[in-house]
Amino acid sequence: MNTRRLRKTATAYVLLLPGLGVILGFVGVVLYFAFAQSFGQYTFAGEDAWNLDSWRQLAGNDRFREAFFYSLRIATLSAVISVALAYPLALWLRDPFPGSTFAGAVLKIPYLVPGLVAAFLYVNFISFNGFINQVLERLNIIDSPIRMQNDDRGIGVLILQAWKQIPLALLLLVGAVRGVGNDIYDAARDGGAGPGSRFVHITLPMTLQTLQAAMIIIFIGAAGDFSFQTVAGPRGTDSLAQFMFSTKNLADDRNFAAVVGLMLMALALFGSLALAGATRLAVNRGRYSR
Amino acid sequence: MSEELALRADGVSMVFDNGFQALDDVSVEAAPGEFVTLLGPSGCGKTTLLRLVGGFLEPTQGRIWLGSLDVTPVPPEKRDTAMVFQSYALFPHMTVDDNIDFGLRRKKLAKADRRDRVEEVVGYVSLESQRRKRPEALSGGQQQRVALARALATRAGVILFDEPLSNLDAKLREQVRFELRRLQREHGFTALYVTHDQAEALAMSDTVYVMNGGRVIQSGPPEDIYDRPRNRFVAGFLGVANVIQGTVSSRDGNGYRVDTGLGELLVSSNGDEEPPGEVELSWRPEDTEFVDADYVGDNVFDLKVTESVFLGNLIDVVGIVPGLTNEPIRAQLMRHTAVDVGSVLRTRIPPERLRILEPEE
Amino acid sequence: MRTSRALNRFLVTMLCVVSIVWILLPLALAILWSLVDPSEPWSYPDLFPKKLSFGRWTKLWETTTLPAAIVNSYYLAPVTGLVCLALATPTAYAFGRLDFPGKSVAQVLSLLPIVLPSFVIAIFFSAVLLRLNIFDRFLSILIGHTVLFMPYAIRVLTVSFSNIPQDLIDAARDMNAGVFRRYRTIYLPIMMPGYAAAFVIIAVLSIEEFALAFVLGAPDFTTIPTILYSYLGQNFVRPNAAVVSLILVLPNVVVLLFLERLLRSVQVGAGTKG
Repeated sequence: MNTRRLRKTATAYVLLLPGLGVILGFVGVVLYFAFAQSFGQYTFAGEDAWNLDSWRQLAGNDRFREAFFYSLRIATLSAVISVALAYPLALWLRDPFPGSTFAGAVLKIPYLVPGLVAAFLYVNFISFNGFINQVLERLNIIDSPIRMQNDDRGIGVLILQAWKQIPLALLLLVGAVRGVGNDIYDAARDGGAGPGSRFVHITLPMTLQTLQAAMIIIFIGAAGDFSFQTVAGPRGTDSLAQFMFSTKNLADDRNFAAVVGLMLMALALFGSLALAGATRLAVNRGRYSR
Repeated sequence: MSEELALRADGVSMVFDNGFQALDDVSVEAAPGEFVTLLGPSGCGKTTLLRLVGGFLEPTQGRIWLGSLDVTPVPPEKRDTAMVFQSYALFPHMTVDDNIDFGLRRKKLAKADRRDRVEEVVGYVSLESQRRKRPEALSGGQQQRVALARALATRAGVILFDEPLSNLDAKLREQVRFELRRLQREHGFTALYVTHDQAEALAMSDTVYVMNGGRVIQSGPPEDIYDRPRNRFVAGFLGVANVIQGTVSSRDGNGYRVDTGLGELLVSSNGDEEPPGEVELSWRPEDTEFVDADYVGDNVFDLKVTESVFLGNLIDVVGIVPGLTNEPIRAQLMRHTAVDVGSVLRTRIPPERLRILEPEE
Repeated sequence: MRTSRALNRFLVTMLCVVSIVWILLPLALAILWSLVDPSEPWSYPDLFPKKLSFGRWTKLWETTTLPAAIVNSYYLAPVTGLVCLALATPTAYAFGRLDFPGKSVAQVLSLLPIVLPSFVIAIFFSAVLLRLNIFDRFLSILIGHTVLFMPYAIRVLTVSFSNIPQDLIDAARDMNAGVFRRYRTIYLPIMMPGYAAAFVIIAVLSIEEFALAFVLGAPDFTTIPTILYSYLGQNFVRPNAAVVSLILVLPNVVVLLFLERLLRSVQVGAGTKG
């Protein structure tokens, strides 16, 4: 009996090897390289020596600090804006109505557009002699084109992130909102809860897990963004991925690039978890305060 | 005009967007403290009517009154009704207390009042020890009682029940049936109760509305409906009924003589209206009498037993009347009488127990 | 009831207007820009380009590495897809049909490549390759893509495996079918839709993938996204970018044709919670 179970377990683990095993091996080696490089190994140019030199560089590095907080800000705002816009759409699409399938399909189109294409579409739209400037000029709202590309606050990046991530958030949230039974909403109405109250007391707490999952996915994606940032982001500020890339390729400092990469992963991991935790707190506070 | 009524649905019709007509000119009323049941098979429109009263739907035609208020366009959140759902619809992320408190908070009651009320209704349904648990940690019966307590706590004028016992097992269902009736008597709330279970309807109601095909077929106190079904549908839906065809042959004092497959039957009149020539007669199996083999009189025939089923408290008998009809006739006997298949029982139907049915629409 | 229908009609109309500005207009502009004739630039006062032609397309095709990039991308994608399916099948079988200690942890771990920032993976993977003296660009990107997209294959195939009725398998065993015969006769036919969905998802993702292709491939191994990237940003060559964008978005248009079925599988892949 016991040996049989052992054999079954062993079989399962062997079956995991080509799939999960490859993933873990790859990720393990890559992460090991990142750690080792950050502590002075695999310099590929000079001498390898275990040391904390590259980590010490973090302390006074203004460009790193700027990139770190910039990525944190963009990631947080992207996650919040995307779910904030996706929620009303998800509630609207919860029950089928004439045209709802069409509406759902249209809203999901950006999900199928590759990130770089999205970036091009956006830049093409807002560029110096792009569509918006042309329209505004023809309508005599402005005299000369406005410079909107690579704006200093990263609004372009945020619009792009929202464009690309709202469909994902919508996909997840529609499923979650549909999971809350009609009876539950009816019972809430019956108890005297209006639309706002139902959202705060029923929808938000009951879809909290999906909400958190959506925010985590969007946060991680936006925190590690390179292409949106280089195409549409501010010229003066780097995202962490961009900073890591230029540290490695332009400054040719692989060890410090490793430190930045690890900090980026830490930001993605802890930042998204912190955001998920904060969301939970906010949702519960909303429930009990009213 | 409707001030003495707690609830009145007046000429209500409901046609859904897809064109399905769920209700066709239905009127229902309930006096304060009355227990009114809507009884019918699935698809008869009873749940639609309940949802109209609750405000979840707006009727295509007709008005709905709560007390002296016309609430037809009022949404459920502003209506003085409380619903007990078939699925219970408890909020899974809230404790028992918070579930019950939910409606009270929306009413913006003072905290102390809310606490008192929750405590009170938790007592009614004996859930004192479960108050901090979430619904998933409770048994089906307990969840059902939380749903009831949540509705009671709002002190709504009318409490709506949507087949609340259908998810409980048979024994528990019977127990909750009594408990619900007791609570209703003690606290005097008006109840509108939807069910497809005739036993439930008969046991609990002051008034039963039997519905079919979007219409009310018959309404009245349970005994009335059971004893004097209006047509074949009501007779068959509430319990078991024998129905046979016949032709009215003559008037006899207070009743009629009707030619049937069982010979000529004497029927006491059930109204002033002259019955048409072709009629259907019905009677309940338990109204069948068994008489001595040499008994002679009206409404007597010999029943040859083809099936006999021991039910515990009763014996169910199915038989035919050889030479007259091959339609099975059902009868019931008290136990301790041995009935063998193939034996012949001399059978009598009292004229006052026979009923002339109206034709179905 | 009636008011909410009117409201919905209004909202659908609003959505149409918004999506035209938000989605369709940018796509239409891209098409228009790709058709601007190289000899007659489209500049400010003109509402429409003076002259439309496929000149840009042919010029790009003849003078740049675009054909090579297309070949690279469309060669890489199906190979990645097949390798992923082959490697993911045993793991998906274990997830879908077996119970073993640590299964839920293993399932969460299998999502790692999705949650790690791909740019970071790309940078350090390039260091690993350097250390191992692997300089074959194609192989490097193939390995990277395989790992990166394996989670999707595992998710989709796990669902496929778990949807097979146990009765069927028992019946096959009853008739003494061995492991491979069982796989061929029972699993494979039933799982064909799952395999197809996973393959298409991975192929599309591989064609679109930028970070690894850029870090590992540039400058001598180009894919469609890396070409597009070179036309964006600082040296923004608008008509060229428009052409490449349209080429890049093409497989997705194909996917759109059987959108419903695919989105359901994507949902399985993307939703980490039940």
